[in-house]
Amino acid sequence: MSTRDDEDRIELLQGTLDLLILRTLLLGPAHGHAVAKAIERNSEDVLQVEQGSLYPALHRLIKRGWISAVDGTSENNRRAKFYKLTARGRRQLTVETTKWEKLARAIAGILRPADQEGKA
Amino acid sequence: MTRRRREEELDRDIREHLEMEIRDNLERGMSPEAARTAALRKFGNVARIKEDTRAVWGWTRLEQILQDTRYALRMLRKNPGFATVAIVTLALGIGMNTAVFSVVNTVLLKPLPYPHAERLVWLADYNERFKMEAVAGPDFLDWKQQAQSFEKMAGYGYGFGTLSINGNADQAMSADVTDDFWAITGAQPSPGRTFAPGERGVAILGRGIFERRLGSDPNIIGKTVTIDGRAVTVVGVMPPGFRFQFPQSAPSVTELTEIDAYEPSDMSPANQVRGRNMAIVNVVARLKTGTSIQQAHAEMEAIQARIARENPHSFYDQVTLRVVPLHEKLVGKARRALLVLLAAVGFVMLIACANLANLLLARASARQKEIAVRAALGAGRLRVVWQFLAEGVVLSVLGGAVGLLLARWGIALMVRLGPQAVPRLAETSMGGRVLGFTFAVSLLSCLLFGLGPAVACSQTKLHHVLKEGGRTASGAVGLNTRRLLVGGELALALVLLVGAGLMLKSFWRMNARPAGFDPESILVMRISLSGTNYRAMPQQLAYIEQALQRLEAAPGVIAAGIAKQTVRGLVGVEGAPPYPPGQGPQTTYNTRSAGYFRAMGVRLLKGRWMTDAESTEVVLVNETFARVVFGADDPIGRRIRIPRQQSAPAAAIVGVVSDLKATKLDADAEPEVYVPYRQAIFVRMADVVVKTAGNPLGMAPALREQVSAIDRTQPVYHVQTLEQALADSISPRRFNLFLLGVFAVVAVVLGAVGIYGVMSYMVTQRTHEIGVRMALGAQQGEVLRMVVRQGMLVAAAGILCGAAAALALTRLMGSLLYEVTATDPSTFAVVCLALGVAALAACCTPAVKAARVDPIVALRYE
Repeated sequence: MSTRDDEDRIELLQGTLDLLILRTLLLGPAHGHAVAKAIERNSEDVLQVEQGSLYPALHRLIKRGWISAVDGTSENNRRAKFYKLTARGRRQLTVETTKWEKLARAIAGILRPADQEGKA
Repeated sequence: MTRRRREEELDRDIREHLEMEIRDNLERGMSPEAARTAALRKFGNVARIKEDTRAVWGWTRLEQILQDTRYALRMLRKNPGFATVAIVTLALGIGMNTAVFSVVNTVLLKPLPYPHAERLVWLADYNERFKMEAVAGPDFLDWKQQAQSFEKMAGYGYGFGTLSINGNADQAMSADVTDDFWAITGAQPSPGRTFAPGERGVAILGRGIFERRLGSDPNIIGKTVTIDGRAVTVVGVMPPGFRFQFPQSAPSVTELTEIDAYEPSDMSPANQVRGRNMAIVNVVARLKTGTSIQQAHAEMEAIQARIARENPHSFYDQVTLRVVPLHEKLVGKARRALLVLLAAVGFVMLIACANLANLLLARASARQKEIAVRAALGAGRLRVVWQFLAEGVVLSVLGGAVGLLLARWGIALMVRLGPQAVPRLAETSMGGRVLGFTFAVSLLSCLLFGLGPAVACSQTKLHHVLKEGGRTASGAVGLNTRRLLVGGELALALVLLVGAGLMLKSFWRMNARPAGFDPESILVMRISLSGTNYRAMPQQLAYIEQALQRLEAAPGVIAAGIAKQTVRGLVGVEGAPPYPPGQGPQTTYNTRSAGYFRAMGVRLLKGRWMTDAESTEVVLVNETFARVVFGADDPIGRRIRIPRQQSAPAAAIVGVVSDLKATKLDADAEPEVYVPYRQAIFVRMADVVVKTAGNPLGMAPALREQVSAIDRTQPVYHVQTLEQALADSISPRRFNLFLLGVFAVVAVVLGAVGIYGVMSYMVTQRTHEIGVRMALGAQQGEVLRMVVRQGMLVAAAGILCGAAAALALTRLMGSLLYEVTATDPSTFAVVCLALGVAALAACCTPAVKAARVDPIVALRYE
């Protein structure tokens, strides 16, 4: 099922799942399974998402108005729910991305100060 | 979107998701079996994820509550035995607490039913020597005129009299009140009006007499009635719902009875026949807004000092002024007893909670597997705790509802039991505050008994339980907690039992009576002579003489005599040096006929009896008098002076008789002097006592008729056995004893049920182990002893702790006891023993059950 050993996987940080979902949906509407797959694939299977935990997150995002759900047809021709980014969701994604980059830079700076000095 | 629809869509989404994952896995070349397992594992706990998603939707908490409540109700329906025991236990606890709190709320917390009741104060001069409060009429007039601290000040007095309506005389309670009484009570007669200032010869009737005797006929207004021989015009009737709650400084009659007729008080100097220190009035005043009781007290002190300066009289040297809130004056004496009862009933509640916690713990351990399965299926710990609490809440609510019904009934019972026992008791009702209290108690109890088991169970290691398989060997969970609870229950029960035991012993002490005194066979009736025909002494004496003759001649009568309410005064012995001022012994001077002593069974200790026809002034004294006044000297032949008969020669003591508690059971014997009734100056109201051979109440109508027939205009009333009269004299104590006794019995029963429950449970849990022991050769007796020993160990610990707690706590009820110390060793011993026996009995059934365990069956057991 996965190409890497379980030991190499990282548990997702609280709250980052939302960001990943929004980013994934930027590419277009998708159903739950596809979102989970995309997150796994794009992180080269490093991020371990317990697939089920996607659903409370999806419903939370709907409630906040960042995504919406539409009925569609899945690959195996069944009715399935497709999730779609809303305009507000798009804006939120920009905000969240900026926030995340700041955080990542800050943490990186603390962990490898010399590196940063060298760059400067 | 409806909830159901969302739920369906979520289901579909998840199903779809899993199918896609399985398909992916199949494509990777897994076997169908493995593909499915892998997909499920990757997805996570479906039930929990659904729960989390629902949590995002909101409102789930409430939904869970409803669901848990429904589940709890279903569980209770399926266990009717458990449900009944739990609800009855709770209902008893909550019901008793609510009832007692209603009384406490009414008596101690609720303001008196008058406007600005919080500003009403009781004013009195307390006489140190006579140990009583009194206000002289002229002093009252000065106070009212001079004091600036009060808006209104009312004087009043009340007592038994005779009220004739349409020629029918009956005993009545009549009060005379000054003008401000109406402003202070806020009472507006309906129908009719209040008195005009200075109006005389008018009366206002009480509501009770208006409704019962006059059939609520408003035509009574303007009619003439006779009160104590005086013709007065009825100008009004008290409004419905008016309660007379005014104390009397010298309660010659039971306080706070219903008043049948109000008359304007005549305080004019012309009516003050007996001088400044005699006419006694009770005073209630309303403070001005913003005036403190201390300020009022200071002002009154100054006024009183001026009065004393201007009217030199020994009376003023012995009095201290009292200004106390009226509410305090009324209920102050009942406070301690009520608080003790409230604490006691709180103990019962704690015991009930401990019992319930035990029951729930037992069920919880039985349900460990179920809980483990629920947890495995994704129920969070909070969810499990909440489910237990839900059961607790359902029980509390049901118990509280039944408890409220019980409380209503309990209040009615208490009010019937002792309307005179506690002031304001008859006012008791269940208002919003009481309902709030009940709600709070129910909720608190639910937390107390529900939370413990809930937490204990949520900590269960689920793999442990599931691995145990069928065997519920994990009974140790909570067993120590349960022992602790039962020990605590027994300790609380012991404290209650000691309290009840001490009161019971006081009761016995009070009821101890000398040989020959037999109040069950003595009938008492009161006569009250009024009207112009009985102004003079000879007519009064003639009436009494005739009454006694008729009674003694009646069949079944052994002896008849009269007893006149008495005067108190200093002892003055002729020829003895006078006592230093304020230190002489006090005595009561009682008017008696010779037949009285025969009827009451008094014994003659020395000298001779007095007769009804003494030619010289003689008296009898009781043994306490002889001991206090004469010590070892012989009192016979000594002469004493009787107050109010100063002109007569000093009376010779001709005999010493035994002490007798004939009026108040909880009073100690006091020095008493008995004066022949023919030498008394004023009789008017007296008690006739009749010793009968048969049932006195059966003979009462005939005997009453004998006296009534002498003169129909004079009422004969208060007909009862002396036993009843004595019992009434200690009705507050009977009230407290009854309630405390009930609480103690309930506590012991609950405690015994608790220990029985724990021991039975332990035996069931250890059936397997007991079977092994017996298979290995343990004898039945040994098993029996083992179980009993374990149970009694808990009981003994509980009893010891309880005894220690009781030692500390019973001190608080010292004032409720009579001739018994709060640490009475024999009471403690008996109570500990009794509780021990109850605990032993409760252990026996489980022990016998354990001893009868069949090893073969037990070993096969699960």
